Amino acid sequence: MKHNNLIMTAMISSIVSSTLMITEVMALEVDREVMPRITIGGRVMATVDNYDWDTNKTKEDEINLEDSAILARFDKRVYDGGVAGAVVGFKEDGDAVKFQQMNAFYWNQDFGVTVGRTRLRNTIIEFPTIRDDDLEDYTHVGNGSSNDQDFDGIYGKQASFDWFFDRKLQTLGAWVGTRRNGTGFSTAPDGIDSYGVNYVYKQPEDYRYVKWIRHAGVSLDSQKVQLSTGEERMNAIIAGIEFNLNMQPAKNWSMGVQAISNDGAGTITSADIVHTNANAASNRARAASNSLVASLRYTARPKLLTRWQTALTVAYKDYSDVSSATQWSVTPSLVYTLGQGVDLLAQVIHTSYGSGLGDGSDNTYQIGISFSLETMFNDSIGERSDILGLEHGYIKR
Amino acid sequence: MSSNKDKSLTTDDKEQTTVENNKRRNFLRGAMAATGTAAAAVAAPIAAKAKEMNHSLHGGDVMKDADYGSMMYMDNHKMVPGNLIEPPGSPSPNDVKYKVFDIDVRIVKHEILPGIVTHVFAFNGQVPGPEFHVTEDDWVQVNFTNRTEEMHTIHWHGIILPYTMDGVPMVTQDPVHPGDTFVYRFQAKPAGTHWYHCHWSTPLHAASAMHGAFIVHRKKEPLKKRFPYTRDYTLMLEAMDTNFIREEMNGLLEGMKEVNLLMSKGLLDYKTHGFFKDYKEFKQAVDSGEYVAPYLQSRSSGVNIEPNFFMINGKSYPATKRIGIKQGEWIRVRFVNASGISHHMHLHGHDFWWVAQDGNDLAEPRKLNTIHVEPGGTYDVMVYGDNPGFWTWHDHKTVHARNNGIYPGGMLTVMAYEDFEPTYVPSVSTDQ
Repeated sequence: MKHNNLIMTAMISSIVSSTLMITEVMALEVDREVMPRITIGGRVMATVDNYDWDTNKTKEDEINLEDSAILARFDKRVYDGGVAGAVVGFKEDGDAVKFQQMNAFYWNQDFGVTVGRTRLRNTIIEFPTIRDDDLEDYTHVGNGSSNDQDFDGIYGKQASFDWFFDRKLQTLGAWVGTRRNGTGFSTAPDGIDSYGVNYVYKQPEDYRYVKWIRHAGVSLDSQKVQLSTGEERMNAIIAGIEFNLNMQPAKNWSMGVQAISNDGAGTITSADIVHTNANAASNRARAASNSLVASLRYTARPKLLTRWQTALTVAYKDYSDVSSATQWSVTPSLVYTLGQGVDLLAQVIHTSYGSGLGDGSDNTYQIGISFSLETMFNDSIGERSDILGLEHGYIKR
Repeated sequence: MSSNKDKSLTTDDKEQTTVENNKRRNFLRGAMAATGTAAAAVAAPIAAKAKEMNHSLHGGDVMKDADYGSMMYMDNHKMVPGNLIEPPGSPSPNDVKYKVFDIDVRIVKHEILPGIVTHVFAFNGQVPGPEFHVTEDDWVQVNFTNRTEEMHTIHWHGIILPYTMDGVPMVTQDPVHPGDTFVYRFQAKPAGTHWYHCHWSTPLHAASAMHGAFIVHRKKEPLKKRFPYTRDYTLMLEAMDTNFIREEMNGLLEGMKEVNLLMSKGLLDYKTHGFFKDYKEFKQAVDSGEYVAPYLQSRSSGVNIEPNFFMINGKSYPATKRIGIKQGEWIRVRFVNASGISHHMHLHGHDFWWVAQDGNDLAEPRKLNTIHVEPGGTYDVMVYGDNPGFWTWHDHKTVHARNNGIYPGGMLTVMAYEDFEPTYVPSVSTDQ
């Protein structure tokens, strides 16, 4: 019994001394956990879509939830004054929910780095259609290694580096990445399959109604595709500009224009890109093409509060190696703001195809509602491009 | 720590004082020349008027019979920076001799303590603003120039003056527009410890940095008979939510870029800025949905102001300056609470005499060692040096004695005797 007591005493002493040691270590720990800034953003966009498509006569009307997404960003200042963090986001994509954003990043006054799944740099201007992919054939460089252009044409894995200069209004960027859809596409290249460089001039959002040029840039996008003859690289040049037509923040007219020229990969025939081809989406992405998009937008902001916006976007694309392979679209849209982040939406998309693409025209009628949110907790950082940082000196801490 | 007119404005020995340099005066001259008016001394009557916009013109309904009033409601109200606004209410410079001061507001980066820097609106680029020292009944003229894109005013807290000089936007004056100069003229009375602050967007502008002490001295100070003090300190008590300041300043500046652009074109609907001719017009605008009141929704995530730094004269401990005292010396300490929250300033090792509140001498001084300093109030105490050492003087609401939640810091300083041999010398401690 006495022996047992001794053992018990020894055990208790050991536990106590261990606990004390841990406590002492904890007491000396000065690098305590610092709560990050947390930003939650997202949108649920629900539209009732009516389809009248020649290219898919069996397509049924539906409730469309595409572009609905939730994003969470976590970031904090690091010792040298820069900011590091991570973004995780998932979105509805057809019948699936996918992570469209999962990346880590670092930025400071002069440069930024992002590594992970994020938005591809295969476009420059955001056009005033209600969804990102509404005119994607024209607005984005296609993904030559996927038939899911709605997702893989917009998001991919990427490592990017950006250098900010000229009071941070201009950016030189470079990136490498992978765009292939590993599970859904059999003939994809291995390794790093894309890279690019870009130059962007962009006014912060705070200046969007008070500067003539909102956004402009030029970008070189190169991606490797797997052909039956082996791997081949295709290159695209993107150039775009968005500018105000009047300097009137309350009744604002603006315009956006973007052109893409893609030299394509391999030999593409009409049979590869007609609607009935199962791989039409990736084949069209691989085809040499030229596209042009232009939009005219009016934003009504009585008392400087956005109440409604209407836009007309027109687009044209020519698959230059295929005879009569052209398409064009006209898209009027209307957004009526019920409250901040709550919008009624209406849009018509008319697209007409040349015979090289299989002829016909598609009409899509959409009406719906969008709820968007962005809220921030423990904001102790601010943004790199805010007015105080741009005009009154950047504060590192 | 302001002591004996350190960084202060004083006209005790000269008629006209320029703070820091002549830039503001040059600016005034430039503005006047631009309007085509012959240059004149600032202290002299000035008739400089902008051709396209004139805040001295009558434009509202309230003052129809006066030659002055709000121009915010004028049709095609157009802003052209560089105007000089001289409201009525005080004697002409031809009739009395003004002591003239120039002051401006700028956006600067202010260091609260090493590693903590924040943008602020600041008078003459300093926090707190320059300290005025004038003598009772002096005639004072302050030429206030707005060098920001935001609107501002100056309210002279505790001074009895004509209402047109009181600095309350849309109650006593139009806000001072970007690039404009507003001339405040009044007589310095009553004597005592007073202060001044911006009254536009007060929770941001005044509580953050746009404040300073305004000390009106008596020609002969009766308190010196009982408390023959030889040094005079002013302690502005301040609290900042640096996150709120950043977000709110950015939000306001963003809005003002658009407002200023519209004003420069004569296209601003005055209701955009939340201005209404009267309550009836305001209510109708809200009820009809024409005007969506910003208080219905929050404009920034930092709406709830939760100060994370507490300061004395713009600095948090250990960056605060010490209060010097000698054995056998009386010192006067003037507390001015610019923070918007209450503080309980406790001095170790001493009692002190509370002698005045809001500039008025108490009928009977009270002996304390902790004084409750309420928002907006000024409190004067006298300390006698009879216990040599280093003595902490701090807000005993100890959450205010922290820097971003870390104790010790914040509203804490040390009263240090200058004429003794210490056996223990204070060092710096920042994380307990």
